[in-house]
Order: sequence, then C-alpha cells, then structure tokens
Amino acid sequence: MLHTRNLQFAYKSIAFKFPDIHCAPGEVLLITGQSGKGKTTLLHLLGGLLRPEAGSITIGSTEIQKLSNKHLDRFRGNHIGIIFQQAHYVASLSVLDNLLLATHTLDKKRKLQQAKRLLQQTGMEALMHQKPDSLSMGQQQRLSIIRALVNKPLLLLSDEPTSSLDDDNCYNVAALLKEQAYNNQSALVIVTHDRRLKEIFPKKIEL
Amino acid sequence: MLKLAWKNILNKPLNALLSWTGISISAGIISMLLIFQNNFERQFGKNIDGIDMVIGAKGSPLQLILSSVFHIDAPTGNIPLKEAEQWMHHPLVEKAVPLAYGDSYEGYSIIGTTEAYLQHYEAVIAAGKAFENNFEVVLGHNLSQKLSLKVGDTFFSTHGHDEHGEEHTDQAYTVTGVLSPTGTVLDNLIVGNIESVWKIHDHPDEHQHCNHEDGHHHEDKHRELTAILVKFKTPMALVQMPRLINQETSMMAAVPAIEVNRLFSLFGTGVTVLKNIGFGIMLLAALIIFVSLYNALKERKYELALMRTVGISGLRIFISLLAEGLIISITGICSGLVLSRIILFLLSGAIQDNYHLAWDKLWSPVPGEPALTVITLCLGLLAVLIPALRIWSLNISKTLANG
Repeated sequence: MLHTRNLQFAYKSIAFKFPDIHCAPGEVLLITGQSGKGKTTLLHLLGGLLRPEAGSITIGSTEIQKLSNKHLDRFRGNHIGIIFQQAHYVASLSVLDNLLLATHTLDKKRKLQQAKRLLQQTGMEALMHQKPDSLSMGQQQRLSIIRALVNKPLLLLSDEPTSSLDDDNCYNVAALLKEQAYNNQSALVIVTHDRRLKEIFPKKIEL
Repeated sequence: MLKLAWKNILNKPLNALLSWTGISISAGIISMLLIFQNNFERQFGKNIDGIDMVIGAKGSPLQLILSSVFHIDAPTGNIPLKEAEQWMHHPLVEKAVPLAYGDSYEGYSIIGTTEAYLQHYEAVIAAGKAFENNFEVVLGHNLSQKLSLKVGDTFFSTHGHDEHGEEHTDQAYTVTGVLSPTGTVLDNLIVGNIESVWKIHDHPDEHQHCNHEDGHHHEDKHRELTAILVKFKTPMALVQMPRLINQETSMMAAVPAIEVNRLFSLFGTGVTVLKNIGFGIMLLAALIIFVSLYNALKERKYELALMRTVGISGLRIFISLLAEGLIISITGICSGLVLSRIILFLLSGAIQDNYHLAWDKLWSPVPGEPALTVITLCLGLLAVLIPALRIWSLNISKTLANG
C-alpha cells in the first residue's frame, strides 16, 4: 500500500535521509526517534505536504511526488487522512460541519450518513452540534481521527496523536486508530515518541 | 463555502458589527447628501422655472431671489408701483406677475398678487373658491393641515416673518379656498390680492393726515410692490433688460438662474466637505475590515492549513474569504441607503418648514448612488483581498508542524 524508496529531504541547514518504508493495508507502522530526527518531516513528505528532494513515495499505485500541486491537493484530500499532534478544526463550524467540510463525496445524503455513522461509532453523536472549542482534548482528538477517516483513505498518517492525552484517552485513541485502520484497510503510519504506543504496536522503524 | 463565510462572520459578531456599522454610516451619510443635493437642486430648479428675471428694491440680488421666489428671506424693500408698471408693460415682457408681501401668519408668508401667480405654478382650486375681494385668501396645499384652517376661517396677519411679530388686528383675512398641490413654494404660501396688503398697511391716522393733500397723489404714493416676477418674450431680453433696469432706475433686477447657481456653488463647498467626511469614514470602515480579517486569519491560519490538507483548494478558501467581506459590505451598503432615507424621512417636517423643500421620490435611487455602491463594494473587496491572497503563500507543513 505504502512504499518509499531512497527518500531525501533537506532544510536550509539540515539534510535528512530516510530509510525505506513499507506498510500494508490494515497494518500499523510506528516511526519513532528523538526530536530533530525528522519524524514530522517524514510524515509531511508521506502526506504530500512537503515535496522530497529525491526518492519516491508510492501510495496505492500512485507515485505522489510526480503529481502537480493541484493533483496532489486532490489526491491528499481523497486518499490520505492526516491526524495532527494538536487537534485543528474550523472554529466557527460545528463538529458535524467540520466533518462534512472534509468529506468529498458529492452525494449530500451519503455525506451526512457517513459522518453520522462515524460519530456514532466513536460515541460523539451527542456532541455533533457543538463547537469544537467546547470539547475536551480527548474528544477533539477523536474528532481529528474521524475527520481523517471520512473519505476512507488509503493511507492514514498520525503525528504524535497521543502526546497531550492522559493514559485512558491514550489507549482509547490508540484502539480507535487501530480498529478504524483495520476496518478501512488503510495503511496507518504513526509518528511518535510516546512509550505507551510502543507497547501496543509491534512494527516500528527507528530514525 | 458561503455557509463557511456566514459562520465565520457569526463567530466574531462584534468585529462584523463594527465593520458593518462603519460601512452603513458612511454609505448613509453620503447617500443622504446625494439625496439632499439632488432634491435641493431639482426643487430650486422647479421653482425658478419660467421666471427669467425678478425686479425689486435695491439690495442683495440673492436676497431678492430668496425672498420673492422661494420666500425664505426678508424682502429687500418696496418699489413704487408707478415705476414698476413701466417695465411690466415693456414690449419684451411676455408675462409680469406683481407681488406684494412682507406679512405672515404663523411664519407662512402672505402674498398679495394676481391670478397670474396661481396660473404660473399651474395651481387650481382644490376646495372652496379663489380670492375675489379684499382680505380674501387661498391657502397653499400644505397649509390647510398645518395651520388647521379651513374654508371660511379667519385670521390676523403678523407684520414681518416672525411668528411673534406685531399683529395687524384691525383687519382679519378670510380663507376662501385651498389650492391643489404643485410641488413648489406655492404649497406653503397664503395668497390674496394686492389691495389687501396695501390696505392693511394703510393706517387710519395716516389717512387723515394725507387727506389734507391731494387724494389721488396719496393713492399712488402708497401703491407699492415688493417684487415683480418677469418672463421675457425672447431670451435676448435677458442680456439687456437687467442691465438697463439696474443702471437707469432706482430698482434692481436679478436673474434667478444666476443667483441660484451662485447659491449652489456656495452650498456645494459644504456638501463637498461633508461628502469627503463620509468617504473618510468609509475608508476607516474598510481599514477595520482589513485589520480584523487580517488578525482573524492569523488566528485562523491553522484552520486554513487544515482545510488545505483535507483537500479544499486554495481557490475555494479564497472565495469563502471574499464572500465574508462582501456579505458585510453589501449588507452595510443596503442598510446605509435605507438609513439615510429613514433619517431624511424623519427630518422631512422640519426641512419642509425651513426650506419649503419636500422630498420627491425619496425611495428611488438618486444619481450618484450607483457609483457610491460600486465604490463601497470595491473598497470592501480590496480590504479582504489583501489578507485573503495570503492563503497561497501559507506554508502548510510549517504551520502545522509548529502547531
């Protein structure tokens, strides 16, 4: 599902050379490493937010580094779900509207069904008309996960999804990620230095 | 995307309110001035229509026009009938309407004149009948309600224009009729014959004194007019006649068109200043929109980056931001235009009393308002354009990595 080869990237002062990554559908891959090793950079490369200097990233059957900006935006929207370290959302929209904003199905009825089904699965149904600001950290993170999932992505990327959560929430979020990735048959890549996650997910790459 | 724009406005209601108020007020002020100027010029134009020249006593020509045509100033003085008549029957004169005025009732001028005055304004009798005898008057259309006088009522006139002036208690006027609306000064005037005005000022003691002299002489001496409204047979006369009268007689001739233009240019300066103030407020409002959107976008840069990552194109976000600004601008303009009309409508009573000016077609757009709308929209658009363009320079990866 996800393959990278000879991936390289450089900021002005630092250059990164990343090991090759493979991740099958429904599989969870943990990328760990100390700060400054380029964990987030790698994640942004995989998500098409940054462009590699050399090497290739293949998601499904598409080499995303070859896509134009516009097509990359569209590809990302349709096939990649990204969960950030902090939950970002559109503050003026309700939980439900935030989900709908990220949903690309054209059929409005199906869009709504899909969003509601996910909210139901994660126990957030009662909160769907609230503003994201009023949710707890754990709930906000769950919202981010649902939003990443609404389009049934091929690849799910998650950047430190649990670093700001307590143990209970951490395990809940980890379980939710694992379960949803499996249900969707998405490849899930988690970047983290959270020990608790290392215990749960066996497959990992150290940078 | 429109929904997003609307939700974003609602999310920061105070900011939106501030921007909206600014635009409303500035558009309102400018529209108010435009309406005022437009009506002012049209009404003044309507009133001087068909009057080529006014003859009166020497003084300020503008005052003569203001008093004789618009009845919003005191007369310059009187001119002897005998001298005036020579010019009224001049071969180049098509029509000459004699006026004798100076008295009022409750602040509304009483004009001594002939039927020709009513004909000039194309007024017909709406109720009762025309004045025939001395001390009979007809009321302008607006006055029957304002003065709560009806046909058959009587009243005493007051000397001068002041409501509290000396009353001429020895003779009362009787209302014989009410005129149809004309949309001119006539609607706010009381009209009778010239003899009544003469008689009111013919005090009995003077009579006795004068009776010792030659009676005929006395008659003529007291026969005076305040002004004559003149229409020429040919425009050529306009060039010679006023000069001739001003040079060769003790009277003065003034041309309404010239004096009214002079008045407009005097007035114009004030209107221009106010308009500039209006535009100043509008710039301020645009600046408020600009700053508040700029700041809001700084706060919202994570969500903008997020929207880009979930696959919403920069163009769609851009359109949503533009819509945000446009919604505020458009509602601001609309409420401004309505506001100005509401204010003018509320003021209409006072303005009618002071300037004898009634709003004509208040609710239809006046010239200049389409331009005002376009300018305001452009300003509003410009104010959102600059911050909105920044979404393309936003570094998504960096923004989200630092969050």
